[in-house]
Order: sequence, then C-alpha cells, then structure tokens
Amino acid sequence: MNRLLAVLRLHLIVLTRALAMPWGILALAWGASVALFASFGGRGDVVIVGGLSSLYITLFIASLQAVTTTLSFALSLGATRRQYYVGTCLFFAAQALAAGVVLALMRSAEQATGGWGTHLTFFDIPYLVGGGPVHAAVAYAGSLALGCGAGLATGVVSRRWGTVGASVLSAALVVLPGALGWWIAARGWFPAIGRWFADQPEVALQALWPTVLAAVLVLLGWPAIRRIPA
Amino acid sequence: MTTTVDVEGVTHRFGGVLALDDVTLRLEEPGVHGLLGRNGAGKTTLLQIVAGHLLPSAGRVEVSGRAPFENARALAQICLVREGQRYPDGYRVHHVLRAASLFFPHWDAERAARLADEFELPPRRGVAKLSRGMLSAVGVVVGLASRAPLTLFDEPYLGLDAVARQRFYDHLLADVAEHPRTVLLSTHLIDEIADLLQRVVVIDHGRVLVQADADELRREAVTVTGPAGDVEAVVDRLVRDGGPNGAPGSGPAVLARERLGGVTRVTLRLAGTDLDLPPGAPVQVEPVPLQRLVVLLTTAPAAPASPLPTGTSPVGTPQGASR
Repeated sequence: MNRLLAVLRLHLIVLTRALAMPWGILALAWGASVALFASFGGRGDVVIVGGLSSLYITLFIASLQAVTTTLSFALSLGATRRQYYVGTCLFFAAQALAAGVVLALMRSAEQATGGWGTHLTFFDIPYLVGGGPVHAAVAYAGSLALGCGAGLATGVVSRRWGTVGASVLSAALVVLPGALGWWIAARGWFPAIGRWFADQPEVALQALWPTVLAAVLVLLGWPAIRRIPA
Repeated sequence: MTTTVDVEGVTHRFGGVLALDDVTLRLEEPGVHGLLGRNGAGKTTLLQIVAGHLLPSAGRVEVSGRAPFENARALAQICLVREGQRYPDGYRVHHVLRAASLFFPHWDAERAARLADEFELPPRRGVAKLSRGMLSAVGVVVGLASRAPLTLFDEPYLGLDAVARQRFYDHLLADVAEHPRTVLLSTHLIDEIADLLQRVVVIDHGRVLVQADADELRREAVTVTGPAGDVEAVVDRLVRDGGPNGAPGSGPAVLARERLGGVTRVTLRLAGTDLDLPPGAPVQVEPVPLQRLVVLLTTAPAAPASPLPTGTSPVGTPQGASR
C-alpha cells in the first residue's frame, strides 16, 4: 500500500512537470483568449475558441511520457509493474477528477459572467459537456480520463513495441474506425446504433462511456506492461 | 538476517540470441561478490533476472526464498543500479534521491546527502545535464544509500575517474562491514576490486565458468616460472599424478604456457592438488592475479574449457559448448 503511495508521490516529485505544465498552459491560453476578446470590446456572437484542448493534449502527453520515462526508473527502485501501473492510473484518474471539478467551476463562472464579459466560450464544450455543475464535472472528468487512458495505452505500446508499434497503432486508429463504419453501413446497422445513442442519457454518453473506454484501454495495456524490459 | 540468492538452471533468450545458458549459482554470505565476464557474456541479463526485472525463459530464481519477478516483498529488498539508467524528464539530482527515499525501506538520507557531496554532485543540477561519470555517481549514491539487503551494481563505474572509483570501493567495503548485506557487482575492471571480493562468479557466453571464493580461487591457480626443463618436470608430475584422468574439468591442467628464451612460464590450475616441488628446483611459484585468471578462462580456446568446479553447487560442464 505505501509503495502504491510511493508511485503516486513519484509522479509528483517534479511538481512543475506534473501540475504546472498542463495548468500553466491552460491558464495562458485562457488569459490570451480573454485579453483578445476584451480587445474586441466584448461585442459580437458567442465564439468557441477551443483553448481547452490544450489541457487534453498536455494530459495525453504527460500520461504517455509517464510510461516511457518513469516506468524504468520506478522498476529500478524496486516497484513492481503492478504497483507502478495501478499507482500511475490512480494518479491520472485523480487528476482527471480534480480537473473535472475545476473546469466545471470555471464553466459556471464563465456562464455567470457572460463569457468573462467578452462573450468568450472557453470552458464550455457543446455536446461534450452539458447540464449543471455536477453533470459538467463528471463529463469533463470522463473525457479527460479517456485522454489519459489513451496516453497510457500509447505509452505502453511504444515502450513494448517501439516506434514501429506506435506507428502501427496510429495507423490502426485511422483505419479501424473507417473500416468499422463501412462494415456497419454495409450491414445497415446505423439506424439502430443511432437509436441506441439517442436513448442513452446525456450523462452516460458524456461521462460513463468515455470512462469505460479509458478503463478498457488501461486494462489492455496490462499484459503488455508485464513484458516491457525494464 | 542474511539474504540468499539462488539461481538454478536459468536460461534466457532474446529472440534468437541465447543470453544465458543453464546458469546455476548461489550466494549465501553477506559481502561483496563479483560477477566477472567479458562484454556480452550475460552479466546484465543475469543481474536483471536476479533483480526481478526480467522473467527468465526457463529456470528458477529465488532471493531469500522468493521468486523476485513481480513480488512486492522480494523487490522491496533489492536495489539494482544499472549502467545507463534513464531518469524521468525534469529530474534533478535531489529528485532522484527523494524518489529513492520513497521506495527503499532502509534508505539512509543523511548518508545519501554526504555521498552526493563527496562525489561532487550538485543537488540542483538537472540529471540530463550530468556528465557520464556524474550519472554513474548518482547510481553509486543510490545503491550505497539504499542499504538494500541485496544490492546489485551493473558496471557502476563507467566514466568515473580513478579517484572516484577508489572512493566507491572504499565506501562499499566500509558499508558492507558496518551493515552486512549482499552486494553483487558486475565489472571487467577486475584488478581494481579483486581484493574486495569475497566470492567470484565468472561467466562467458551465457555460461558460468567459475564460481568460487576469491581466496580459494587464488589458491587454485599458480604460475610456475623457471628453466624450461625444470618447469615442464613440475607440470608433468602434476598433470600426470594429479586428479583422476578421464574426468575432464576436475583435474589439474595447464591454462597457459609462455616461453621466452630458455625460461618457461606455465599457468596451472591446481584443482585441489598440492604442487609437488622437488627440493632445490630452480622454479618460482606465484599466485595468478584474478584478472589474468579470468582472461585465461574466457579466451583460451581449448585449455580452460574445463571449469574450476569449486563452490556449493555444480556449474555444468561448459566444455567446448561456448565456442
């Protein structure tokens, strides 16, 4: 147990990397957007800037790099792969959850202030996040968890199978959804799938299913991580 | 509490490459033990398997009775300092020491700070900016301060200058005397540490050639120097009368023979037999330095094909198998 904690703390040793980087970049993007929109005089239509994607990108990269750089170091300190993997997944799950709460609060503030007085939509993501603050928090957390899960899985693939593995994975991520779509269309299943989506409560689509997908990615990484040379 | 290392019949393959071939060895006493061999002999693979970083293709490994791979209780007792260890991005020297303090139950922080100072490691220097030698020093500090009951060093001295290496050896010896623990150190700078070593394991092409106590090994082999006729007479008597013939690998044997003018120098493996010197023979008998012995064992094509079969467990018969 305390070694699981040690893995969590291992990720926090360089705080500037673990926290300051994603949040610093986000704060910069937000500050720049607000300044830019304020310079327009706060008039015009609501505009979505998409600066929030910086947080998704930095967390994806952080989780990918966690596997490629801290795994070997943790093993050299006598951690087991299981302790490392569970601790690392918990670290990113906790981060996704905490980030979800912060983002939901910022979204509420954004809505309350009319887009920071400038009609700026920085934190809200239409379709991906909706409802009240709690709903929004789990929706952010779910999609961030999916980003981290994808990062961890990519990290595992690139550590286990090298650049070739990572390239094959990227190619597969492009080809497979296309192939799947073609196959579903050929079978005429799109209407049924559409109905299934329509029947799902919004919060399930926004929070539950991304989290489930993240968990699946992480679990798929486990057998591979056992075979990664230290 | 003594840590034991028990490796039995371990074979490991990387793809088509046979890195370890039926390796059996046992360490039972605390102290500094040497894992000696040439580049590519399998030293790193063996250390990784003992440290639980690698699952062998076949065979059994136990550290104090526990298979180390993915065993939290076993791994908490082991520290492997690897040559070329990578550190996470953004780490500084003091981050590495802090991380180590989180994991090693016997970590000695005060000692780590003192050692870092002695090896002239600036605590706030980024690890990525360290020289080769300073990186090695970081590993040395972690290994020494970890106080892990089983500490494995894989060629920990790369880039370290002679002074720093001597410091490392001094600390190692003092530390093991003060807090008895088992240290297994792989190296090919054999002469530098020969005096430190309690037990010596020599591997070549993935096979154990020798495992013996260092003192025993020093008594095992001698050089006999003198006029050719006298030397050959001594040698003949030893090899003929020595051990039972027809049991390759167990009897006395000639490891090397050099001639210079009328003087011959023969390196002999005694295999437990006494050297029978005729009174007044004009020959000189000297112990063989460990490094020379290892070189002979791992390079000579035929003569040393038989191992020095000392030690507690059989080491196999690598006769000709490694060539």
